[in-house]
Amino acid sequence: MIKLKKLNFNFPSFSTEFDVETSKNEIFGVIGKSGSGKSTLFNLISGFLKPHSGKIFFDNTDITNLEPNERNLSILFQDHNNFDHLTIFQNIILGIDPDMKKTDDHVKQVKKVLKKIFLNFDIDTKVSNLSGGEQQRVSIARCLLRNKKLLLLDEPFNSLDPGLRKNLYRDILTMTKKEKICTLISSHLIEELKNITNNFFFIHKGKIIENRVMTYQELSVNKYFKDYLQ
Amino acid sequence: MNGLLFGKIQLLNNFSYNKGAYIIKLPYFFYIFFISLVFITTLIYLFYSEPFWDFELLSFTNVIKFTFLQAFIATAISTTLGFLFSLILYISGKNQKIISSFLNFCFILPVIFISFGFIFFFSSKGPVSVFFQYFFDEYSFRIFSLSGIIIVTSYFNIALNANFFFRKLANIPENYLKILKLNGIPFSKSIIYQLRSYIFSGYFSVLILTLVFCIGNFTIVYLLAGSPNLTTIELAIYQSINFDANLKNGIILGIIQLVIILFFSSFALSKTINFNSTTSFKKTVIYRKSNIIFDILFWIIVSIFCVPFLVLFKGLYNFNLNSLFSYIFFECFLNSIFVSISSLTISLFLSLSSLSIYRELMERNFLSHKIIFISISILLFVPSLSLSAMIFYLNFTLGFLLNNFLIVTLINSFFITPIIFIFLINKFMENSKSEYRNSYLFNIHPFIRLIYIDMPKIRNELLLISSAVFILSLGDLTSVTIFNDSSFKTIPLYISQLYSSYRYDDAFFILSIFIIFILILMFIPLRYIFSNDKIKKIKF
Repeated sequence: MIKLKKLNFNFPSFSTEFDVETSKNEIFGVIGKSGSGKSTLFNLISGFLKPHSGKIFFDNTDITNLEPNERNLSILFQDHNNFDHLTIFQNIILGIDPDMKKTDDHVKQVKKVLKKIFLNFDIDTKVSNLSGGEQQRVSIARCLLRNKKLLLLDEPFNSLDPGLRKNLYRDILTMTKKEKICTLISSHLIEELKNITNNFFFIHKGKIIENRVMTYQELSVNKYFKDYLQ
Repeated sequence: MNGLLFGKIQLLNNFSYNKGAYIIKLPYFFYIFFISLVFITTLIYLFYSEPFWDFELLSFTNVIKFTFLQAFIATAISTTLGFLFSLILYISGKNQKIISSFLNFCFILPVIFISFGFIFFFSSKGPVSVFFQYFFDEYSFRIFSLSGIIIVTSYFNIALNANFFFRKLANIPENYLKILKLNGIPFSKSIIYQLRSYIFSGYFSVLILTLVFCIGNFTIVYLLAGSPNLTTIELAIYQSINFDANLKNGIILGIIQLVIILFFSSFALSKTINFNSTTSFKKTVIYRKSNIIFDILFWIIVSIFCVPFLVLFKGLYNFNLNSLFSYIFFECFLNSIFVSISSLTISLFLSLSSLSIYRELMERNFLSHKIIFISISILLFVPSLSLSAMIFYLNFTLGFLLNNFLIVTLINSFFITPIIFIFLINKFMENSKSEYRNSYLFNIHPFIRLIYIDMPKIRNELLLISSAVFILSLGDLTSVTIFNDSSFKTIPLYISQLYSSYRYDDAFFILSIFIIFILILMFIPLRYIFSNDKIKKIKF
């Protein structure tokens, strides 16, 4: 469960304040126009930005002042989720071992997560030799290996084709349910998000509308949301 | 506006289609003809004159030994310090744009300025001696030695290496840094494990380039060699031509150096260097260390790079109107300007012509475009003094009546053409495929394409590189050391002659004025480029 309490961050010409609470760990869609503050929200939750005021709680623990690696979370971006010059094994194992040592135990763990996401490649293959969808799967494998309870997906599949996106969303849905993790997905592809969740944060000008999680039906009558769809 | 442009294109298209096509190719064909003539005449000369080789073996071995010794030491220092400097500059996160521009410009500063800057810094009345003599009475540092040569050579190459690594570091995708941070991997550790191959990819070419520059070291050794033992191949070429009047030895030594350089360069031939890659200077928030140690290290590095500039204070302190308004200064200044303008003009014609042919062949999928690339870039490796000797011999044999001014201009143009060519190639080839399709579709003539499509596209890069090579040519002290006479001297030669005749104050003063002039020249194109980047509002 995630709780943001008057979480404030000021840019020189723009300020954000997020105030919201979720009741359980499931998938939440984060939507809003470009520049509305979605990435800022993710950067604040993951600790890459320090808030000027406010608090962040995850599973009733205050994580506001923790470093990113001390927070119980994983994150996926739209691009550069993997080090292109490293192998599949190295990209996955760095999630738990910075030295990327190839021990028997590590190899076993990597092969296990690769099996979970149906990726059948030699673990020494360079990531740059994989397709876009396969590369994103490698990043998901790293998240699986890290086994964190909060997963942030910042428009992770937008550059992929619809078929691949569907499969990857299905993987995320399975993972969220199985591991009981809280997943926040930021995307402009609302129709696809609707297939995996009916819980949305709608961000408008740096604020979460109505400071609560809304269903699609509730959102569809909101005037800002109507503007956004147009 | 588009209509007007289209009208012009139509008009010019109708105007002698074939003539235009040849005009573009003419400078390149002229160059190939001239260079072939130079090489063929030289080969004939080498094979038909006796004796073939009369260079003393012991001296030759010493020359080779010293060339490699100084080159390897300077390369090792430049690589190590270049990498460390770039790391500190990057992590400190201060003034990244200014640092990157400064590192770029460091490389084109006249060698004579940097050399004299260090000569003054380590001289008996310079800041280092004054400081150390306060503690140790006997202190003295000999700049005219191997150490001096290595310090000055490293200065340039540290800038080259630091620039490469700094750009690599500045271009690390932000998400990479976020992933590292999220996984609790310190930046120092990530450089060894995760980022090493990213940072060092493409470095091999820069390493070879550094080594090649160090092997072809002339001006620094010419100014700082304190004894005959400190002679590189380039300096030996100079001595053969200038003191022994032995063109042949000079040419053979040049060929030996060319073979050595090509041997090393062949390792890097498969790799390409992107000279004008764009860099986004994000604030390195994620790994920024705002602690005092990095701040101190940052200012130490900035101070090291500023050392040669101290000579400006010394020079301006000895302000001397008589030197400034002397006839000889004026003559040297005009010679320098004329040589640089002529060299730049020839090089621009030649490089644009070569680029057009290169692109045309590439667009038509002819593999021969590689020949154009090699025929131009090989000029980077040919020792300029040997080329001077070859041109001098051709001139002498065929009675071309080239005077010193023309020889120096030609050598300078041949030296700067590959720099312009390599710098512009990426920008010139941008959107090449779609432009080619459109040109073919609308029947746009290559000449029109060059003037109305390519020139606006490469305008900023062209201005920047023209200013850089103009400065390189202005500060050049290679071929002019041989091809000069009482009526033809350039400013760098004049300064070095003032220094050799013990007129130190005059030498430093003229040098300071010359460098201030060069610094002004450096900033003019930047101002123009930045003013062009502003969005102009149109009133309706």
